[in-house]
Amino acid sequence: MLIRLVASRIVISLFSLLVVSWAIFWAVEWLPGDTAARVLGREASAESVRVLRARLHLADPPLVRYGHWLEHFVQGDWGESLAADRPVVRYVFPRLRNTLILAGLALGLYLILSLTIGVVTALFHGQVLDTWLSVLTLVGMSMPEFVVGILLVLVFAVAVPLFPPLALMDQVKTFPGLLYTLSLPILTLTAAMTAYAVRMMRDNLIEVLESDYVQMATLKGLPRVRVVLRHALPNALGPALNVTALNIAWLMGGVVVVETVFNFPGLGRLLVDSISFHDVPVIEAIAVVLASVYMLANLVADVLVLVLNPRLRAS
Amino acid sequence: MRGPPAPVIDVDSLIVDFWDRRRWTNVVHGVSFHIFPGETLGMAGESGCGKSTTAYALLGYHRPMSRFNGGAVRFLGRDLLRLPARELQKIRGAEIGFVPQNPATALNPSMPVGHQVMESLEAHGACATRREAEDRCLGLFADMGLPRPKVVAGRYPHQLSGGQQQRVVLAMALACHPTLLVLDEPTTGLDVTTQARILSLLARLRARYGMAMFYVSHNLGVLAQVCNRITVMYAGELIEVASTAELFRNPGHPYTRGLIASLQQVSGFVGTQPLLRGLLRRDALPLGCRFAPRCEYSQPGCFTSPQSLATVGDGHEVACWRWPDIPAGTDPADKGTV
Ligand SMILES: Nc1ncnc2c1ncn2[C@@H]1O[C@H](COP(=O)(O)OP(=O)(O)OP(=O)(O)O)[C@@H](O)[C@H]1O
Ligand code: SF4
Ligand SMILES: [Mg+2]
Repeated sequence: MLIRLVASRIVISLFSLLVVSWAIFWAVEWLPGDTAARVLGREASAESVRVLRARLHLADPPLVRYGHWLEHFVQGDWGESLAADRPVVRYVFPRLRNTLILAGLALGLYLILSLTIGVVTALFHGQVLDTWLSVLTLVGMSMPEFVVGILLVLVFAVAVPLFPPLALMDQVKTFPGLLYTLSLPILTLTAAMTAYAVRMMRDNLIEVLESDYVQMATLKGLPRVRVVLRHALPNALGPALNVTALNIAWLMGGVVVVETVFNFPGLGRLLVDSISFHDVPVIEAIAVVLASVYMLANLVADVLVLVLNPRLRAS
Repeated sequence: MRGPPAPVIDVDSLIVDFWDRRRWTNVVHGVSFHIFPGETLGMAGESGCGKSTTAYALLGYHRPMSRFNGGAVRFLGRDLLRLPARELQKIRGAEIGFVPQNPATALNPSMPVGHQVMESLEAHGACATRREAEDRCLGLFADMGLPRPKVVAGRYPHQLSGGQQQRVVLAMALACHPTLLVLDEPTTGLDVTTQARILSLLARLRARYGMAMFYVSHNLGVLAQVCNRITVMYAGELIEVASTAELFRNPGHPYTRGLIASLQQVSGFVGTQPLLRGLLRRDALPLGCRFAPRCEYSQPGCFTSPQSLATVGDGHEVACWRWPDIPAGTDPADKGTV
């Protein structure tokens, strides 16, 4: 069952990646302007532009160019950047590392926060604490992430200068230093994700806490902590896991915006820059990487849901 | 000279309310009864009258969004309604076992059933080692008549039949040899054959463990098979208490008579007692006798004067001021039914 699921998902994912790369290629193709003109600038002569276009094979028909790129890509050759004469891999991977650090930290904080706040609000459901936290999550849910980011910068970097307003990675030496530098972008990303997951966690847990088996666990004389952690929580996690997969997908887009707001050298900023240069190999590489992370997150979530729920596992 | 033995549990004027959207609504209204060691006391009454609520109270438990609003539940002298949570934990599942209304939903769907039984044993320190808990769990499963205990222990609830689930839940309730077993309609969801098997299993278990039982059912016929004494509840109040034989021979309250009559109708016997008409409507209870809107014998006075249990014979109590006037009719018990 599990193996079948994983295998079929991998096949579907590979097919989706193909579709994604195809769609991205045409989207860039339809954007006005081209790489050669952008690289050489306004004053360039028509002649030099033509020479560069020929060198970059930009004069070839689009289908030929796509086929050429795909052929190399599936063989593991991600090609050269059009805008700068550098292999795409050397370009993309340092940025990917930065983005993964940012996204990973945000995700970690998100998991801790949504679990604890979700459990606490469910346990104190209907009381003052729950009401306040619920209002807070509703506010968080209704604000776009760049608004949250700008608000956080205004409050914690400008009004009360606690944290740096820009996330400059070059000066980072230690892990606490890293956390300090990235604190505002992490908080921005976490705020948007947590709000929704807390809501989900809380509502599920409240429902599960009223179930017969939780009541039975209480009537067996188990301590409250065990009733909540061992009987209620695992049965409330399923839907929250699906939300988490969605959140990771959102995160892949969210970082693009947040990296721009905080001038953070990650994949997102690279993507924005590359689009302005029509740098197809770099754009394709980033799109494929982000889409793969997205699909992997979904697969992991689905596997976990199966593992947690024996009833689904059997069928 | 020896008096009667001290009761295992003594419920005294129990009042339970629940939060119904915007106000507290009463569910159980001043209920009192007791159970002696080794005795089985039944509770009959139609759906929604407050049987489960009373059963939970015997473990000092009330559902979320509800509250105890008076009375006492004394278990071996200690009032469970005033006991701190830690003390209650030690009693629940150890000294008082609980068998739920619906075993299919009362078992945790994501935990093997063996674990759920062992967990109970471990929480109450009944076993020194995991190994011992496992052996004891398998022994209990065998006692409950479950085939291949080891296989069953590893199963998840959805992989068991209704009857098997009920046996697992029974094993869980009996794991620590309780003094009192509370059973909330333990056979309602089961087919007739399985129900009969579970009932005979219960009879054997009682002979073996000697625990007292509180047995809730909407079916008087089932109660007749297992109980020494029976209480009848209507709209949150007890309206009759008697020994099983006395209740069927000499039912006092019109509601009890109606229950017995519908039982006989089901079994093909045409009695002379009027059948029950209408349904319990909690939103339209009169100030006086709560049964008055549905009673064949009601008089204007019934609607205004509240009725409470009064002794009418040896251990027989009825909450109806008119009971002596009500024609006894043809006594169904004489015809050898039930
Ligand atoms: N949280 C609650 N706690 C207690 N009673 C509640 C609660 N919510 C609703 N009630 C109402 O209290 C009444 C008594 O419920 P209870 O479960 O005790 O009845 P019952 O006699 O066991 O019925 P059934 O035969 O259907 O199980 C019902 O009318 C029910 O709707
Ligand atoms: S008190 Fe009156 S209404 Fe109530 S049961 Fe007796 S006769 Fe019927
Ligand atoms: Mg019930």
